[in-house]
Amino acid sequence: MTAARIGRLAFLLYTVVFFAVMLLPLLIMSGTAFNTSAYPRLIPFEGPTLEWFAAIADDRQLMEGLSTSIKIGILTVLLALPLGFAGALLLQQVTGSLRRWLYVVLIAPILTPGVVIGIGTVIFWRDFTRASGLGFFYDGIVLTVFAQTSFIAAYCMLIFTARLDRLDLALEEAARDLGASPTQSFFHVLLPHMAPAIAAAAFIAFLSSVENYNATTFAILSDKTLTTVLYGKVRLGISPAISALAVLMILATLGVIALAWLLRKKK
Amino acid sequence: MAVSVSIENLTIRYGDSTAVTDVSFDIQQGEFFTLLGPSGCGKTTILRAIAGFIEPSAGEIRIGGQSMRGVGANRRPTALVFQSLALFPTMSVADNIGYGLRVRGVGKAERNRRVDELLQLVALEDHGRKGVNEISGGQRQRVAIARALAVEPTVLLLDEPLSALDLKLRQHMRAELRAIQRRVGTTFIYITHDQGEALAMSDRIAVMNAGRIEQIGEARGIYTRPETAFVAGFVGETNRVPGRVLRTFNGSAVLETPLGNLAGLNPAGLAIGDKAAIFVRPEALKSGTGGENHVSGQADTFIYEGNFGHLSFLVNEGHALTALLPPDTGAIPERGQPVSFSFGAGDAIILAD
Amino acid sequence: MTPFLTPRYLITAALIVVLVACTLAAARHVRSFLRRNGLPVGLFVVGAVVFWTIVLIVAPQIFMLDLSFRFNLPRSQLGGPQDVLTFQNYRSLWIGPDGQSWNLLQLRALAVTLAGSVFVVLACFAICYPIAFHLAQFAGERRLRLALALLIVPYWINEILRAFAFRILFTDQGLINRLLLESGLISQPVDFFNIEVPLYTGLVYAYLLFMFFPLYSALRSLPHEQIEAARDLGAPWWHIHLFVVMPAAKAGIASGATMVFMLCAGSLAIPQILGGTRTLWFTPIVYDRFFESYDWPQGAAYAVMLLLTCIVVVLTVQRIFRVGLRDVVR
Repeated sequence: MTAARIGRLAFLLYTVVFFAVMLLPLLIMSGTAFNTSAYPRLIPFEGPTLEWFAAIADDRQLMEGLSTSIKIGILTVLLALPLGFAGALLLQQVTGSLRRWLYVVLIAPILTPGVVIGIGTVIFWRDFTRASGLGFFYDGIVLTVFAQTSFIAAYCMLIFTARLDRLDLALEEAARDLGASPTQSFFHVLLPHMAPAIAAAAFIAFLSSVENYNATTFAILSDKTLTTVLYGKVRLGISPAISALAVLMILATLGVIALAWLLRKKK
Repeated sequence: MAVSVSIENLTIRYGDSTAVTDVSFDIQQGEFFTLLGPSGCGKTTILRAIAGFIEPSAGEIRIGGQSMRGVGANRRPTALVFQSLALFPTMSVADNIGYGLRVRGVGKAERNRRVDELLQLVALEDHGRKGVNEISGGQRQRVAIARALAVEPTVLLLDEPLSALDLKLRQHMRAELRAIQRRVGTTFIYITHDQGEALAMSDRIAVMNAGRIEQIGEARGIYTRPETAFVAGFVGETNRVPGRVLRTFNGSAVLETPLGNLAGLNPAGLAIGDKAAIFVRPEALKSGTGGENHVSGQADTFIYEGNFGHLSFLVNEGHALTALLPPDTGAIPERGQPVSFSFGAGDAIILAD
Repeated sequence: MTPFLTPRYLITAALIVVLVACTLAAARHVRSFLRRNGLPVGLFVVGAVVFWTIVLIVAPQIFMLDLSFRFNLPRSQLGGPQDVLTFQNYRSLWIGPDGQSWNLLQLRALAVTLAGSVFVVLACFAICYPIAFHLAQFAGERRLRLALALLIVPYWINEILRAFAFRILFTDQGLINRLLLESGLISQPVDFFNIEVPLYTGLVYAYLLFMFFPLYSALRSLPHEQIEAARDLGAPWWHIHLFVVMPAAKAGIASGATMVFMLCAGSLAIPQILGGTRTLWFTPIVYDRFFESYDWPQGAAYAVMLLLTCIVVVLTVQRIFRVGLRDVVR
């Protein structure tokens, strides 16, 4: 065997191991979710069961956390999309050092540790509420939406910026030339062009929101979201029901993606 | 005829650099007017200023007698056909054409009627419901023109709309464009760097260089009677021989050049001793000794182009001239073979250099 | 004293004033901005960005900074004579409660967090590089799509659930201990959690993609001809990687490394779930300030310290490797 062939073989082996390890957690989850054993494990396999899936539906805490998470996710999408869109539009139109500074400030929340964002948000709104007497804002769901939006809007902005770069500026000029007001050109040319990016950003924003733990655990105050409930369960003790939940979440995500794919294909 | 567009002392500056310097011209109602010049000469800047995308630094643009100062692009009676066409990819062909009417609040029934008319005008009756990416390049071109015509502009502005097409289609579209213009009778302002396009379509041409207009006139006049060395060199192919004016008489002059004394027209009235150059078209060079001016040398390269051939020959060191050989020319001269040509004084022009 | 006259409100107000002043100074630009976008869209864009930057990003950080310099007072004493600025919360980071001895545990936790995050960055890079290089330079369309899908799929499940999967894997009865026991390699289950194998496995796994994608896109933009040219000129493979490929991918590497480092140092759930009883990590200490000792000012001070040390490390490393922040946040 030549050295080149040994190298190729080694690389192939590496690739196989790499992807096997990447998928390992999924396999463990799926395996333990269907194993009768009350302790989540793959071996010995004590026989297939669906009881852990039933256990999820009975778990009121989990269900409440899930519905809170979905609420927060929807609100975050509704807030982060317009903010990210505005940020992308402004970045497209300003230049020089103003653009650089704006970019750094808007991107900073992506790099800032979630705990820092969560803590800052809670402190700010607690003090603001005390000073102003406006109790509405000091609410776990509202604070979580604010904390998550500060960085999720930046994800959305990056997606929008990439799409905006591919817009032929002559299109907006053409609309203006044909008599459209700036507002009409915004709705007739810019928004339709951005539609796929808006859909993608909404998907990413919702997933990031439901998935978030670091900022949420501070901002949610006394409420519970899916991730904080899960954290409590994982800390207290481990149960195959958690694996079952993971399997359901994978299936749900797969379903959404398949749906999006079908919709696009239909078009 | 009424003046449709009038440009007065237009100057446009970007920061320190000046793109357009003190340009003035009038365009008549229904005229096909072309701004011709190399890239960066300021022609696109003028077009965008007329459309309303650029604010002039000084001077005045009037359309139909109305000053356009402070009037936004969306309120001007102009319509622009973009170089990239800028068709809306999210709309169908018909929706693209009807867009200008839609934002003007024209009702749906009236809009459909107008769109159908325009589709007919550009011979795209069966393509209205297609997406703009489902039709060919030439068809997209026609959609862009129809879209601009739909708003019934006083002036239609065209920014090198044919440059993206291949040669065959481009030549076809020239004729098509000219025919559409005759049918609708709208004033067209056309921008191009392609002198062939300009000569083929325009009623009048303005040749631009470095932000200024060099010459305005009909195609024929621009080609046969260039007024500046730039126009002579830029429009069409030409031979240029520099020298000094030796004698002048009665609208003509004789130039002392490295190729000997050559006679030509002297439209600018150059005086004896002025530095100048004589310009003569390759097709004016006839083999033999028929004309007033004689040049002879050795054949260098021959480029065959189907319906004719270009022969370049060396007269003396460093001076090459090009002559156009008609297809019925007998034997093509071999390289190094002596050749001699002549041209009439009326076919050559002497201009300040 | 009215509650709005405290430093944090004044600083925030000053920021808004500065912003408005900048805007007015650029009034000409504002006019052309509004003309280009129209009034409704223009106002929306400016309003949204101001709300985002001031209310969601900057103000919370200022308030956190302000609180970190205050005593942990009951609400009735806020604004009273005892509500004065102090460094005590920062001092408690390195001086123990007795006011004399060093607080070694917390300092070590901070050091371990930073060093551990650097280790995770290096591990992520080493693991991703061969795959990213191969996919970017050699893979065909179909293989590429399959590989990217396989990479993304595991990240559809929650970070906590992924950590949970690794916890199952590494327990006394987990798959690995089982396999090792049954193969006779060991006679007693290994306590992986105490030697922090699950922690680092979990961290590397969690942030692998944040290294992979910047690296991949940087390598993709390297023309394949450059590698062929180097090979043609007789360079050995390691030389090509070190002096042709990696310098070209520098911005991507910097971007990935920064992301992974910041995420890792700020990671909370993974050290909590996959750490052993003796594991040290800084974020859980911050967490405890809030939820165990209810000392928010101290928690705020610790959060500020975490942020500052991370920024210092990132900027230092960027200085050493001569990459700008602009390369990173692309």
